[in-house]
Amino acid sequence: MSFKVGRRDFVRFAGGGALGMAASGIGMEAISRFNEALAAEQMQVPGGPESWALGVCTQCPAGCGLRVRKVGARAVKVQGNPLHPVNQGGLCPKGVAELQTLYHPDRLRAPMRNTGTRKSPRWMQISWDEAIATLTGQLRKLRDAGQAHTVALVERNRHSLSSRLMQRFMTAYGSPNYLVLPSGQDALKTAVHLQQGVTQPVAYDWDRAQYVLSFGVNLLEGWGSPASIMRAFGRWRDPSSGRRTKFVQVEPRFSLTASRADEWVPLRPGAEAALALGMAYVLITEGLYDAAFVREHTFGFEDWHDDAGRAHQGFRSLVLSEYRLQDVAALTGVPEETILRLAREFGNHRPAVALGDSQTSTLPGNPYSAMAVHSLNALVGSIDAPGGVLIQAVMPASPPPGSVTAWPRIDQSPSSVFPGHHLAEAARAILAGRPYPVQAIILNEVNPVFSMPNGTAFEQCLDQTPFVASFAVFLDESAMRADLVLPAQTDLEKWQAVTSPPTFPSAVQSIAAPVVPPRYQARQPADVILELAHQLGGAAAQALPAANFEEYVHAQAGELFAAQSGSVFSTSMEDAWNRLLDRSGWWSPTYATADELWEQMQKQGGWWDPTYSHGEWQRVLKTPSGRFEFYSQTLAHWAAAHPEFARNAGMKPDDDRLFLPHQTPIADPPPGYPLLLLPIEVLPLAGGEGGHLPYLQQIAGSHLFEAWESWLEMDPETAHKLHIPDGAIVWIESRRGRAQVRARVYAGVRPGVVHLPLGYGHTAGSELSRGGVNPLSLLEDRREPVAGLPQSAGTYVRVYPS
Amino acid sequence: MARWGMAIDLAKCSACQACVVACQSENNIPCVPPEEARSGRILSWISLLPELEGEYPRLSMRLVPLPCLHCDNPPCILVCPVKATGINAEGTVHQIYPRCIGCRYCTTGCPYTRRMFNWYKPEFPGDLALALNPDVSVRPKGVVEKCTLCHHRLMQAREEAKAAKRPLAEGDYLPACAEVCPSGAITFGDLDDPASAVAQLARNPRAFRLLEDLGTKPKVFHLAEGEWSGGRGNQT
Amino acid sequence: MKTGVLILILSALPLLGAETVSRGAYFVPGDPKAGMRVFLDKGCARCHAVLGEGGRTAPDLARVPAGHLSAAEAVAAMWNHAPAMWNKMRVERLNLPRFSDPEMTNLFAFLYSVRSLDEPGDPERGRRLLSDKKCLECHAVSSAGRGAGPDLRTWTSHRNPVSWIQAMWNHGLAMRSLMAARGLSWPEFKDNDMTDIIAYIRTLAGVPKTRANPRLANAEAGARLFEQKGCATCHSFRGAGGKGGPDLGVRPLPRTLGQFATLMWNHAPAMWSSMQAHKMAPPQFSNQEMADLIAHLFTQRYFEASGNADRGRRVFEEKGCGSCHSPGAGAARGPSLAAWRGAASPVRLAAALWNHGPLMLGTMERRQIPWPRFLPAEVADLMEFLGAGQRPRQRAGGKP
Repeated sequence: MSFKVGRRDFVRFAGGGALGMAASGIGMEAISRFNEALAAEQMQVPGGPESWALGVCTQCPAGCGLRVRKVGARAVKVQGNPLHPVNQGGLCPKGVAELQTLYHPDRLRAPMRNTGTRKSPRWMQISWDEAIATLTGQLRKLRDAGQAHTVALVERNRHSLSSRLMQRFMTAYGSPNYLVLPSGQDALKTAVHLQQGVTQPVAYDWDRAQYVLSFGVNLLEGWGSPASIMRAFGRWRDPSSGRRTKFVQVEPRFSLTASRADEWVPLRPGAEAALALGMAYVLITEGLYDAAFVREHTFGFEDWHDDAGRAHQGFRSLVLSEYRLQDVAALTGVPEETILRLAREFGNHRPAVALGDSQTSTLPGNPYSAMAVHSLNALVGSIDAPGGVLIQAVMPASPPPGSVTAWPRIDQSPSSVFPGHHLAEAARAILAGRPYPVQAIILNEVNPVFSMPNGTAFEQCLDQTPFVASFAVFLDESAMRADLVLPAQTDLEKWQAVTSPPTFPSAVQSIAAPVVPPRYQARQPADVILELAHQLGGAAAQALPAANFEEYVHAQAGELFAAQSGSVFSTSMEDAWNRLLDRSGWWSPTYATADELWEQMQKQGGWWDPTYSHGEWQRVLKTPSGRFEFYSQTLAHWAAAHPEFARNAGMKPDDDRLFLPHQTPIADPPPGYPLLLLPIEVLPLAGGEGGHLPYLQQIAGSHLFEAWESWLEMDPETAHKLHIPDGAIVWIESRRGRAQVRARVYAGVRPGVVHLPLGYGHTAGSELSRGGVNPLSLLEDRREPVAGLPQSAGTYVRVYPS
Repeated sequence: MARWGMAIDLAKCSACQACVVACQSENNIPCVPPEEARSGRILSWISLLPELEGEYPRLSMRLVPLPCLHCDNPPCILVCPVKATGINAEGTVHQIYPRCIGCRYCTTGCPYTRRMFNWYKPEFPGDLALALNPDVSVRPKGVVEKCTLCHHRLMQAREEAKAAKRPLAEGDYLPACAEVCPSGAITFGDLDDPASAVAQLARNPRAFRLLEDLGTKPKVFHLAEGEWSGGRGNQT
Repeated sequence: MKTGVLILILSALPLLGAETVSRGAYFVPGDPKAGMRVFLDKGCARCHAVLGEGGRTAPDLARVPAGHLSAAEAVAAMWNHAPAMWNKMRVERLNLPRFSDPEMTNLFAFLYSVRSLDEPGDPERGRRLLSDKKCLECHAVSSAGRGAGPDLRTWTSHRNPVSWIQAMWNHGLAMRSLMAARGLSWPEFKDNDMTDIIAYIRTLAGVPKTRANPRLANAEAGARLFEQKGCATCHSFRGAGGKGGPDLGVRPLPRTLGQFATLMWNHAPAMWSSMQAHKMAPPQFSNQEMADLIAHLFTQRYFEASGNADRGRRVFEEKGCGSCHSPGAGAARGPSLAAWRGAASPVRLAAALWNHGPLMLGTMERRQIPWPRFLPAEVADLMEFLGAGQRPRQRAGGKP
């Protein structure tokens, strides 16, 4: 079978034409010498013997293992570590581009102090000693005045020992305000917390799943652990396994993930819960659900009475009464026959997993939708089953120091509902100065002004905070608002210790020593914090006795040894053997002491515990009932103490649907703004980062031959109606503001929706990343009622030619 | 004598483009500034060819990774006036940069448009030149370049095998794209070894060659997707 | 007596020629991890599963047969069913693999080790067993249970039946007197009862912080323990040693280590009475010690008792090997077996089976010679005969 591809299709690769050289009358030798002369202008780079070193990439939380080729002291190629269980030798394009970050011309070279104002900074280079003295002075002053709690440290959840160190530092110092950026998985985390009662991240048993149904999750474009998911994707399609795992993508846009799926189901934006519950309708009425699991391990499936004798609606009666196929089809735009077929496939191809929802790896979806989707997993018995949705194993670790402060965390997020941090709420609290004013903010390699949905609010937070310090690789939008900017080392220059990546079931500890010496005066933030702790003395110094991060990581290896389980990274053969042994209750490590473990971890890349024990209900179902709760009692208890919850959700307080998965209302477009703006994430700029890397900028919009610039995707019908030809520059305007961008007509766009890619629109940082539009700057500040998560969906815009 | 070929399984390709970037990193391919990118002058020896068909909501898209296909009957080498390009004994179509006069007949001759011309002097801003691979020449302005199946890796693998007194084994020599692919879509090896994975995949019923009717006899085979394919929406 | 056992242990080793037990490795010569690679690379996994992983069209080599297999028993089984297996492979168009001696050694190490592993049990069966065996009379498993004995949920960090038996053993004497006081009889377990009980208890308990899995198989340490703990006083091995208890070299063994530990438990009261009569203190074990001891025994049982060269010669003649594999076989001569002198072992026979067997089968079919079948003892004898390098009696060609 071959598809219709003609010569013309290939010609698209060819460049525009300028005439080349005429070749007449010039001899061969002369030509060679001419070319060599051109070549002689090329740069001379130092040579040296070849060597290989292991590294870890932390451009996303996956922490893929790297194998770096060096020539002398230079790193010349980044490849995957074949022994690393997460990526197994493969890499996503971001990992390969790591060298361009290491050798980037725009990197910060030395600590700098702002001698101007926040709005017009003037940067003066200072020494590290001075920088650390400033930082220490600020923290000591606040602590001595009993104001330690007014210091906040913000970073991305990097799943690393460095994050653990930062957290412990903050606690020991006396501040509850260790805060991380929102993650695209926050809605799912909330759902799992409400329905299963666990705060450990979810994981998926990709290799044994037979059917994967994704509600808007960009599985192949940056969600979770990309290289690991792609490896699983390759296995789903591998004929030698004898069966093909069917992958279905449900989303409004024909994304790259949708195009690679076995089936794409176009869906009205925001209607994910309705589709999931429509499928539940079929599963229930046709008896395709796992009745034994539902009976033994779930609560709230049937109607029930509480201790006071009040009747409550259960999941089944809700679905059967409100999610009939006709209604669901009308609401979602998915035909009845498709819903029927999907549900039957999902119910019959076990083990089946449903994922969702989320918009991108950094923008969360709606917890009610996530609950609806996760309910499908419970219906077919995929909770903690082989091939299903698992709960990530806990890393062996020394217990954290107790909290030394009674002050609440500034975001005051409803931790009984949402187990994460709420940076958007924190920004609000900081601006209001309640419950207490924040007096110092430390940013660790994070750029909230650019990457938060309401970045301007965070900008204001920084401006009104007396002291701001930022560890950064580039002088980005957030660092520009700091008093002190501290150059951070990149992945290949520092000790790396990354723990269990997202969606990966096992406990993993990846280790790497620095591959190359640090460039310029960059330092590892964890090392600086350790020095800070020692200079501050007191509880902070006691909690972190390690002299540097290497020692800290080395000490953690002792924890892994004490766990008396797991193995060092090895070939898949060894892993299979270790798993067999562990399953039978045996352990056969290649190390006899903690030191041997440490040596081997450095040589092979790390340690992990490959065994997963299914069906440990006490570990994975920790709700009040000890069962999977279709009806979340946790949420009900919280709502009883917080009457504003029902108000925000627009429902009566005794409406049982508040605590059951349901479809939330989809707002109509406001007058004058007819098009829904949905930001999209492309793998090269996943996480909204990578704009400084030329390799990634070149491939970011390959499906439309776009590179280096933002593009606005619009469907052909709307473009025609608005008289916008493909490639024209247009204005896109929301109620928050407007920007100019190039419009591209793309048939994969749902009529009535437009898309802008994340990662563009930098106004600071590397020169290479400037230009384009940051879609987050156009989004309105919308929150959902359950956990208050910022919603990226729901902003409407208008587009017109410029 | 080996005959080096490749099989790219379109079912397994996740269209991540790691192959594109790995190739650029391995082979010292310079990045081009945005204006040049607009003219379609991005240099990438392997790229994804997008093919979108249909209308919303019935759409399908194929993203075909396309390196130089190292044809056994390459039209590009026939038109070079200075013999800067040819095919070697192992079937790899090579390029001799110092000989190239930049007439670009070969770029026209290639029906797959897999040859690229260096319109500008390659730039490696700041210290990015430190990441250059010493095994691969940096091309000057005015010459054509294309995928070499990472021939420098073959030379190194051969030397290492010789030093270890063993024959070259399957997997010793892999181009950067095949090595990095996270989903395992790219298989590489000796097409003349019937036991090699690539030879077996080349004989697979799903295997096809692009523009087969032109008679170029590419040594890169693509494997079409199976039954469920192309992300077709609304099956019913 | 003790020296006799030691000599016996050491004398078992030359059966393998130059192969030795690698340090810190598993029960037997060879590397089971490399053996797993062989199992996969040669394609065995296409039909055969191991502990449930692998192909489904042929028996699960870890679970079938249900009892313990020594190396000789394994090769006899393999030999006997080889023609049927090869026919099936030909029908499926599978290449018949060849093995080098190291590959076959590793494969045997893998199969032997993996067969000794217990599998996770059935919690439902475990729940019934706990009440049937009257454990719940003393041991609590929920907050509402009685408390004469420890709460079993504290033991969930031990997942291995060997560990459980070790713990039970150590407190067994105390348990025995308490049970006698309550009129309870000594619980005896069989097959996978322990793994079922463990599986059930684990569903009740929270997740333990650590896993206390013992290390697998330090048979050298086990050999020392066999002496130190006094086992050698009563237990013999293939006739050499104490007479007070069962001969551990002869009695049929169960397949897995956990099942063997269960047997130890079952006979404990009888053993303790006997020890008390002889004024011996019953031994106590740590988690690792129990594991090493049982590993030692399994290592010894890998090797069959030494064969007898004369019986081996008879086997050679009666099975008809001499009709091709002897100097007098004339034109139909098969390869000389002189190279087997000093280096005959079941592993070598298995390798030869695969490398030479299909050709041999073809030749035999053409000459209408039936495929010989072996008993394990015959294999041991045959190896002794070939290893001794004795020449077969000349036969004037043709059928035996």
